[in-house]
Amino acid sequence: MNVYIFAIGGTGARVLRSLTFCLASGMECIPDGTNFIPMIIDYDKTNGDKERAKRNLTTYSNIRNAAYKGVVPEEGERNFFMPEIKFLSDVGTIPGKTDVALNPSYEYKFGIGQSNQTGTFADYMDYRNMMGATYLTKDLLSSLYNDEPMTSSMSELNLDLSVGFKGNPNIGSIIFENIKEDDEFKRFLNTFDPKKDRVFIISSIFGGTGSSGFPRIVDAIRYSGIADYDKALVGASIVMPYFKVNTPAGGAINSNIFNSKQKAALSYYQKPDDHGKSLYQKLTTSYFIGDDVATNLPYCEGSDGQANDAHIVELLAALSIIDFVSTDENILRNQPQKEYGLDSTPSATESIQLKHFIKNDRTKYFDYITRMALAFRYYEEYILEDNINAKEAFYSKQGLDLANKIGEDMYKDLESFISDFDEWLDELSVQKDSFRPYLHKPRVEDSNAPVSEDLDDYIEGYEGSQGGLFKDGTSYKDFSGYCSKFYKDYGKDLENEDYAFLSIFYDAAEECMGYYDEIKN
Amino acid sequence: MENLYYFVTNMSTWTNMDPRQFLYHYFVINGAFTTSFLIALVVAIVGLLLFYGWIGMTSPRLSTLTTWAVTLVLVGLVTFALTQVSVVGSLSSQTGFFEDATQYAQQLRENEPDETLAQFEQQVTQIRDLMNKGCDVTWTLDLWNTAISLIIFFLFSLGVKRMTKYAIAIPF
Repeated sequence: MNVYIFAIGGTGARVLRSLTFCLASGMECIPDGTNFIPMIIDYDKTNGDKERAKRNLTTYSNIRNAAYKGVVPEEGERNFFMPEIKFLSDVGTIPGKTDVALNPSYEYKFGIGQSNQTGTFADYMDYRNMMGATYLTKDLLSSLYNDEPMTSSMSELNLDLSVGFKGNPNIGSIIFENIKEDDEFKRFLNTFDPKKDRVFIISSIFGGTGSSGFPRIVDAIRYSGIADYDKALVGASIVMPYFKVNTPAGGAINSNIFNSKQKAALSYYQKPDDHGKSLYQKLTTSYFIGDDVATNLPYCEGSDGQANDAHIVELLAALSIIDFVSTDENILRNQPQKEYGLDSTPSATESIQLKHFIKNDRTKYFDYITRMALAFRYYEEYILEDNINAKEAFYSKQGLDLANKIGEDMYKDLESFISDFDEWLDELSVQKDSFRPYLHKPRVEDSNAPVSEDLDDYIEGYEGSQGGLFKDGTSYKDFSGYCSKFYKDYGKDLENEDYAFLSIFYDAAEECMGYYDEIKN
Repeated sequence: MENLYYFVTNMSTWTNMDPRQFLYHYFVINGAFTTSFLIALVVAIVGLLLFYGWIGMTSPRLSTLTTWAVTLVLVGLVTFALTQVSVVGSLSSQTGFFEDATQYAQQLRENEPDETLAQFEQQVTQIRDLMNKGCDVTWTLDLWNTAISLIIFFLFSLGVKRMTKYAIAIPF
């Protein structure tokens, strides 16, 4: 199954970033052979969130390509970095349809063609050359859009589009009107098989890019005129406000109106279109996610400065994609709308922890993220910090000879991925509604946040067995033992040693988790 | 076996101090060298089972070079002690060499002419005393047997380590 993900705007990119960590964790619920085809849609050319998400996706793919080279996983087999993340250009065209050539990229240039040219909104519409028959249109546009100079915070017609729509959905909706003409969209239509593939759209509805692009993309899919596209499974994560900014004098983005923009968008989506269908009726399942305890972010109008810290809302939005992908079609069709809520509310002084999620979500999603977190922590603190005994079976020359591989090839990418994961975890923990499931090392050196000494105290709220000379437990040494055991059991027989490494880590982390009593229950 | 224990058979006590060949009778004819070797072999195997068969299969924490080295030392000490106690034996409790020497002396005594009997008894006493006090033969036998045991332990380590879960890289 191919899952096409349209990640719109900065929020879309950040959700995609969280999704890469979810996919890397080897969640069992993701069906065999699922490929993810992410497309980041953001007019903001150098958006920091977008660049970071692209970097994460690239690192993920590099690791996956190296580790799964020549590997045909058995049915039901799971491992870290299991699902494939593909470029749209790498997805095969359906026989009989036109093959639209594209450059490999995770970035989608909806509405701006293949060129990199940018300009003002007026340039985009050729506003200044509207003469003769189109002169009245020019008049209409001038009454609808503010024509103050580019430097003004109110500027609309003269808005520099290279930094996106600055929270103006009335501009984005015009730009996105032409998406059907774009090569990327044509390729999507010619590779998408509505009988087995699924589409997911991630969009915030309180900014400019997401709220305007979201309905246009849904329409473009539903009304493409291609047989069965109207029946395709299309899900969406509708992200409601979860952060705010302190708008300086003259700032174009005002978070005080996020809620009213959201209400306007929700109300617009509810109205039936020319075909008598509301936006929600065009979606198989809509996931509504937001947070009324908004975090204050530094003010930024886009570009490379916009690289917001990760938030649990983005993680939950990413999990909504997994839910959509892993749920049976018939069930999905009977679940048109979903909202997310925690099982229990953390106290005023408490961060959100694993125990606050419902058991089913812990088992289905968070156990896997925890498994990966344990494996990454072990790799970082025990292997990279050179605390491991060089004679450790799986690590030694007779084993995977890791001493000579660390920092090279796949391991280099893995280390970069782990570093991004740490950063992501730390970002999640510093939000107003902070999510701190693990006692990881914080980015700030002099932070007072407690940091685990070993794996047995790494998971916040859970205590692992310390093990002993002849007793298994959850320490680094025990983790080493599990790795060696799985290396002996099957790792040594695997041809691709990178795959073997990931496999034994995946299984070792699962074994380790068995010794955190509370997780078992 | 005689060749394996070449160092022992070339000791001065063996070549010069035992004209009646009590040592040869005990170690070569009666198979004390074979017993020595079996001790070295069995102790080494027990050491291997202990480290690779048990620790190497059940305890990742103990599967270290240090534990292996401790096992090696234990194998050496046990072989040394068992060789001394079982093969060389004790004069007071008449075990090992001393038991064999007593019996062999009895056989020789029956055929010994009267005129050389005194000299014979002196030779018997001499070799018994030497072996009892500890001489080049006893120390070389103990040490060499210990070395054989250690070599067996080491060589077998290289062979069996791959069969373990946690000790495939030990000793190297």
